[in-house]
Amino acid sequence: MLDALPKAISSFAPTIDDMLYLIYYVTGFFFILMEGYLFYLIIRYRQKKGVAAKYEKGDTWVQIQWIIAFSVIILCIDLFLDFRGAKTWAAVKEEVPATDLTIKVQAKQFDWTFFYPGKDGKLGTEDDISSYRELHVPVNKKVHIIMTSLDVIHDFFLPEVRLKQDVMPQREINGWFDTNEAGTFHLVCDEICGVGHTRMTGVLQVDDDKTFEDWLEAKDKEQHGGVQ
Amino acid sequence: MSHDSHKQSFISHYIFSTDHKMIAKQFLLLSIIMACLGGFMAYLIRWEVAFPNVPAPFFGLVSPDKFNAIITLHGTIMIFFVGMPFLAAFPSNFFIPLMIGARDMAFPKLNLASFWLTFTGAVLLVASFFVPGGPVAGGWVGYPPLSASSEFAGVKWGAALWILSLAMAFFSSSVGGLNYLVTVISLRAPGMTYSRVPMTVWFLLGSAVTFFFSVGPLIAGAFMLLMDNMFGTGFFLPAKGGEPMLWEHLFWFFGHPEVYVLFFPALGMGLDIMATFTRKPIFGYKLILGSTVGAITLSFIVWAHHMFLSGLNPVLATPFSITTILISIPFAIIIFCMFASLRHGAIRMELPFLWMVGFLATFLVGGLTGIFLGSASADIYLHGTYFVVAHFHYTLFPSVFFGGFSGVYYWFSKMYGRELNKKLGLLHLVLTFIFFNGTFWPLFRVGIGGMIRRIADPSFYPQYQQFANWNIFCTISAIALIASQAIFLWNIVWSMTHGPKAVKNPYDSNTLEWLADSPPPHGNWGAKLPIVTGDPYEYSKPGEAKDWRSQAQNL
Repeated sequence: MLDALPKAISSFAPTIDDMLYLIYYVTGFFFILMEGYLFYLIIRYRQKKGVAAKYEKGDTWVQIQWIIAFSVIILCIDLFLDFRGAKTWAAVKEEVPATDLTIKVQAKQFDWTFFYPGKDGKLGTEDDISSYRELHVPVNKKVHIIMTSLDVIHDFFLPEVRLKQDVMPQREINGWFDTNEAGTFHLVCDEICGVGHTRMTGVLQVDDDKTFEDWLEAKDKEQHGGVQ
Repeated sequence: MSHDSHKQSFISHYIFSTDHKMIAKQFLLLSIIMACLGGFMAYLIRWEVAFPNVPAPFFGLVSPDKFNAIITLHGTIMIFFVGMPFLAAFPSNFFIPLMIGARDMAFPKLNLASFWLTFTGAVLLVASFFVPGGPVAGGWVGYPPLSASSEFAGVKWGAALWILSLAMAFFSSSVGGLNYLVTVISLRAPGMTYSRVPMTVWFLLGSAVTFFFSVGPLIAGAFMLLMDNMFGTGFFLPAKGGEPMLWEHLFWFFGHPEVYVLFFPALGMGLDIMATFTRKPIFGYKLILGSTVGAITLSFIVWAHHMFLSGLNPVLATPFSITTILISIPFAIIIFCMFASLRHGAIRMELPFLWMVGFLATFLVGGLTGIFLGSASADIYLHGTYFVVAHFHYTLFPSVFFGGFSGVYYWFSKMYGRELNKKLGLLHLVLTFIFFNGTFWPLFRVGIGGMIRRIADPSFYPQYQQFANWNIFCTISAIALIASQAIFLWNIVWSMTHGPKAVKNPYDSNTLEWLADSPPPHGNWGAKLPIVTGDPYEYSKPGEAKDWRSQAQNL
């Protein structure tokens, strides 16, 4: 089942996959156990001539003790999954580490635009370099993203990075990711955003430093004529 | 004159009836009609996903605007105009008075109003297809700003009708629930103490109470959304200083408990069916009810698990993950009690029992896969994919259809005085079970593969081509699943008029409804009310001649 997962290309992707595998094995175990036991009970205790059902109401502590015991086991598994997952969540969503590059992600019906700081190293100034539908990042670098929408709610989903975040109108949401493999990967909008929602896709282009710098410079030239 | 009064009585008997049983049947009929509509929409959705840009037979091309509208209305119809009437209103109306030994509901006229409110809501929703701009198309969750202004989706009147339609449904379920609650509190037959109330009644009440407490905030939210759409206010529009996330909170504060509103009736009916066919008392009557109170309480503090990635403060994710996963404890206790009820039983493999087993076996998958989505870190990847679609269909379909059908097969003879055809019922069960799993099981895999929901044209996504065959498989299963329901429709229509006459109590069951005639007359009980002398689940008591003992002995 989990072999359908796409390639994992960020440092935190394997930890999310580990969580998926962990839950898969835990729930898979209980699935087999409980479906099996249900099936067994129904076959084993079907009505037979001369055998009456047992009159037990489960209203004493002695009768329900094993239910309580099982519930305590489940409680322990629950808490284990919670705390295990909390670590992964915190690493992906709560703590934005020191990054090498900051990119602004701007969503609107029905496309993505990415803004890179220009020569002044700051976003939101005139020399920002923009890229339409193509998010280029250098490989092995941590990237800080600031996501915002101009109209409705969109969702920034990089499946191979295992990163997903709703993008809210007129609000800036911070996130981060890194990559450890060069190549072309997918970007989709994962929140229905109107009639053109289906076509609101893009690409994540991961390149080595040199290719990335060259691309950024070429974009800069194209947009600002290369004037300092 | 006599002709005139005859006509009057037809209307007051079949249309504006105050008899709880007729109102229940009206809810049943409405839910079946709406299920046909919702089912047809399911077919169109699946068709477009499997065969993008190929015109669907009996409809035509499902273009993106139509696709978005259809997924939205499929959800709205199935939850509010199939699930609620079929699983909450129909059994509550029919069985609460009968099972507690009352002659009718506490407020028969309010009951009548409750049906016609739902009916009006259904009409408004269908009408939204025909207004300029078309029906709403932003998903059944209706997230603003998309749903709050025609600027973004081009829908204005459709949105207003959708909100008004939901308002009718909320109003109906609220007055209905109030009625059920007052009825159980005030109209129990002599001797029907609270600890003798059957599980079906308890769980229907649990459902009604959960609905009450969760819907209030959403009613306020719906009012604000209507204002935004019609009068240019900006409650949810950031450009006007509003906050779209407020709607998400109000919606999911209702939305999560709503799943239990639909699950509880199925569970309650399932427990009654279980006791009857295992010939055993329900194991842990009070433990189950206590766990249910726990589950209801927890269901009000889990809503943000739908919003892990919404821009909610990420620090809140872990607390909501914990409450969400903790909800597995009360449900695990209930499931264990059900297992214990089966153990050492003398199980009669009859049709309602097998439907109930189908409900348990499939719902379990929905429950377990919820653990993936309740874990915030796993949800980062799975949120918004077909995994979610598979998961919630594995919770709602088993509740509404397996659970609901188990009730219909169990009580049909009481409702119509005739028996359903059992062979057709078995065929219906087997086909529904196979094709339900065929439709939704592969979608877990498709979702894990990263395929996102609510996209009108998967052929635009080369990365999803690997799932094309699975999607075709699911679509064929879905069509077969929908077609299989024709067996049920034929069975009830034919059996209502031609089925063998039913006896009063075909399953040797204890609860009061089996003491009434089949079908019960107006007022249910003839001259005297039942006087309750025992628990509902006194089966196979040692030392007794029969393996059952009716709750009342005086009828």
